[in-house]
Amino acid sequence: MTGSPRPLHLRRILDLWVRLPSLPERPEVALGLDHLLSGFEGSHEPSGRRVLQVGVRERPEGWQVGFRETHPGAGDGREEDPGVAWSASFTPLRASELEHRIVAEALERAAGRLFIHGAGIVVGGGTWVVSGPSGSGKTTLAMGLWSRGLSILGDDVCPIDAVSLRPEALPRALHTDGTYPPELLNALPAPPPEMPEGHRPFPGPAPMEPPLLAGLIVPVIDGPEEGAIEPLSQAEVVHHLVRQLIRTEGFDFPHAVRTMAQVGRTMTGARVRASTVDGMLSRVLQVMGRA
Amino acid sequence: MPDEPAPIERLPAGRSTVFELAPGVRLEPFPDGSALLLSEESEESLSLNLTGALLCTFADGTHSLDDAHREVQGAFQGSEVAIQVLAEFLLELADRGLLLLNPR
Repeated sequence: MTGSPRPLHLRRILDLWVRLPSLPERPEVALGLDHLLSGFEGSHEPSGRRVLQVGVRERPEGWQVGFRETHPGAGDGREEDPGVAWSASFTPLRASELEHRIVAEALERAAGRLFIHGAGIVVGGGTWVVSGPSGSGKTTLAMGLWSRGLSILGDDVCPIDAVSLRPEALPRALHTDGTYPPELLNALPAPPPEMPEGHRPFPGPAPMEPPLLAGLIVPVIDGPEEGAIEPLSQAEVVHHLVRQLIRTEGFDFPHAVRTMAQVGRTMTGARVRASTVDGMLSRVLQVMGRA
Repeated sequence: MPDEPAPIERLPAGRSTVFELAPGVRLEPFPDGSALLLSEESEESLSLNLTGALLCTFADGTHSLDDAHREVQGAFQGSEVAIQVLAEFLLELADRGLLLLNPR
C-alpha cells in the first residue's frame, strides 16, 4: 500500500449517499474506486436520508455488484449480500467497472432528473452543453475549455433538475484512454499512482449551483465544410437535447419533451465543424463569446 | 423509365388536398419561429424551420395545400415559396406517419 489516505466510505452522487464496498481482499481496487469518485463530495457519515449500499461478491461466473437503499444507522454492515438487484457478472474485478456500474445505478435512482449525454461547461452566467455521441469530442472539448479557464460540470453526463431546470455537476473522473493532445492532458491535475489507467481526476471544483442552460454545441469532427459554424434554431436545439437524453428506467417521453422545450426556449446553439482540436476549440469559444 | 409525378400530383387531391396532424402528433412552436413535430407514440421528434413550422400550423383538417401555400407565401413576401416544395414536404411527413392527407 502507498501512503495515500484511506478511502472514504461514502460519496454523494446527486441525491444519494453511496456507501462504497471496502473490499478488504482487494484494497487497490477500493482505492482506485475512491480516486475515480474523488470529484464527488465524500464523507465517513451520511448527512442525508438516502443511502445506497454497494456490495461486491465473487461467484463462479465472475464478480457481481449489488445495490440496496438503506437509511443511515440501520445498516447491518454485511457486504456479502447487500440485498436485491445483483447485476450481471463481469470479470476481472476492476475499479473502473465498479465505478461505471455505481454511477449508472445512481442515475437510475436519482429522483426528478433528466440526463443529457453531454459535457456541461459554465460560461459566464449560463451553462453550455457539448453534446453528441461517443467519440464526437466531448471530453476533448471539456478538457480544452477547462484549460482556458472555464468550469466544467462533467464530461459525459449533464443532469437537469426537472423542476428547477437547473443543471447539476456529475464530477466523474475523466475517461482519457483515447487519443488526446499532450498539452491538454498535461494541463490536467496529475493522476495519483493508484488511479486506474486511462483516467484523470475530475478537474474541479465543480460549481455548487450552476446557472441555467444557455447554449448547445454539437461538434462535428469530420465531414465537409471545415470550420463552419451553423446556428441551430430553438427547435433544433430541443430536438437534439431530447435525442441525447439518457433513457433511464421510467423515462417519460412527453414529460422529457416538455421539460427540454422549457429549457430550450432560452437557449442558443450551433453545430461546429472542425477536424483539429485547436480549430474546434477556437470556434467553440467564438460561439460562446469567449474568443 | 417514366419520370416520377410531380409532388402535387402524388397528393390524393392535388392542390386541394387537406391535411392534418396524425393522432398523437402535436406541434410545439418556439419563439424564434421554428417548431418541433412530436409523436408521443413513436417517441419521435422532427425540427421544422420557419417555413415548415408555418405550414404545419395549417395542419388542421380544414386548410388545403393551396390555402396553406397562399398564407405561407404571404408571410414570406420577397422570396418565392414553391408549392411543389410544400407538397413534397407534406408527402414526406405523411410517409413518416406524422401527417394525414385528405382525411375524411
